[in-house]
Amino acid sequence: MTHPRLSRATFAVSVVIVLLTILAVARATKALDPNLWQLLELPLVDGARNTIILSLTIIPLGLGIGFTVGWARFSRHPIISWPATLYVDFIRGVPPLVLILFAFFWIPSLFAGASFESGLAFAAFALAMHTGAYQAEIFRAGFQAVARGQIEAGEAVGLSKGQVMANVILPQTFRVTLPALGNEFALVIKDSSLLSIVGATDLAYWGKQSELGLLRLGSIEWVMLAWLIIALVYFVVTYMVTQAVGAVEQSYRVPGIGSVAF
Amino acid sequence: MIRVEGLHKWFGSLHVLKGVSLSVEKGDVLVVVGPSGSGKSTLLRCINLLVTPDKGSVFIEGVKVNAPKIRPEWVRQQVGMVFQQFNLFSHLTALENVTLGLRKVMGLSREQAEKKGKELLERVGLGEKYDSYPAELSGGQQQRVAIARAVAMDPKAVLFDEPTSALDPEYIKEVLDVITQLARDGMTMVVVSHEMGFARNVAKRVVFMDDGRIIEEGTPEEVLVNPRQERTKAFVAKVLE
Repeated sequence: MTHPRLSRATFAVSVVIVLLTILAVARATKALDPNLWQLLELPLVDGARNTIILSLTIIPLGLGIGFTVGWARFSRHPIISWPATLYVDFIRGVPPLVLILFAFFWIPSLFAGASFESGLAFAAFALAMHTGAYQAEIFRAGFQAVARGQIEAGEAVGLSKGQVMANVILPQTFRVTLPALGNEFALVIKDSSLLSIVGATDLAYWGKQSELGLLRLGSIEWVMLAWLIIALVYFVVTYMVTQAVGAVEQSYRVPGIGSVAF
Repeated sequence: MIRVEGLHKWFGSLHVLKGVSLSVEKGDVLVVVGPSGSGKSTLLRCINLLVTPDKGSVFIEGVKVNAPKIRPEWVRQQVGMVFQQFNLFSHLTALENVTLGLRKVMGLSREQAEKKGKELLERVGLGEKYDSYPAELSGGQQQRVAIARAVAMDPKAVLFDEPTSALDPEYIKEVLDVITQLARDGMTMVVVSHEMGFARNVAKRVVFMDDGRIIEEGTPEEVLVNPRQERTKAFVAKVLE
């Protein structure tokens, strides 16, 4: 159990440590040159914005896929559960980078007049499918964590199947899966950097783009500093998301329902 | 009140109920005894359609309920059930466990449901505990909440599936007391239980089941004290050992 005040303290300490490190590097390399900031400011703002947009698109998509596939995996009908199992097994066995390249280069070629943007959309969707496979396993475990007897008890008081789902299964699945889902969201934010390979102008993309200019203007330390700043932005975004999930978890906490610490 | 005729149930190739017939009059308590695997639980679950009978009929107040036109949800409102493992909803408080059905099935407002829920928890001696979650209650307290939950729906009868088998010995009495009180108040009940004292004090009739069939039926005295069938004698001797 993480105490809210303790979390804030950890956060403050982490930020201070990272900032101190950056300052130390900057001082050691005399990097506080106005040229550096000129070179970094626009890409950083643009990149951070795009990273956040990508994450906020992929996370809900992945959540939708994960919930649906997880529910299908939980189903007792093989016609429903079998394709879901195939999906999870396949996607988990392929590196997300390969999925992205496949989605970017191959899928758009099936459609006439496909654009770069559509390729990028497919690539983002590939990442959603990837996290969806992992989230499906989280949801399946979450559904299975609801004791069969409680479903029976819900039916025994006269609830319909839909009411049992809404009032007995989902509230418990939600509580059990939340910590693991928060973990998965954090992975998505960082995995979204893979989309820079196919030209998404996110933080990682701008980091890569700035390297040459920074080298010409300064030194390898400048490049390192740029990546350090980018890492810090990833850290802050991820931290905010995991803290938000933690806060939701805290407010729905019920004694006796599995809270997996992470 | 409850009548069962020629009930059969198969699970795959396993023939669990092999033509069971019985009837329970209004206000009566029927206790079902028998070795594990004899089909007692399945019989109870067929009465409220948690398990669908493959052959035979179940009548509640003369209405055949295992019929295509009858909604199982409606049947389960008529016949409450209490489980061996309590099966309280673990994300809900004791009061919410009792009021969920009142609100979602009977359509009571939150205020009405909570008023009734608190009265019922009071009746099972848990007036103070309405805000506790199942994990914060003892087994005996959980089972009493489960009884309140079943009774809350104003059922015509309540089925008890080994209500004390999962309890630590020190909690058995408090649960049996609540069930006994319910019987004295005139509730029709079918109770699967091996509590011989309870059966003798509360049951109007007792049936002994083995291998999916009713072997012997009669008053508690007849079945539990002076059984006629060999299998009943062997079982009673074992349980009283």
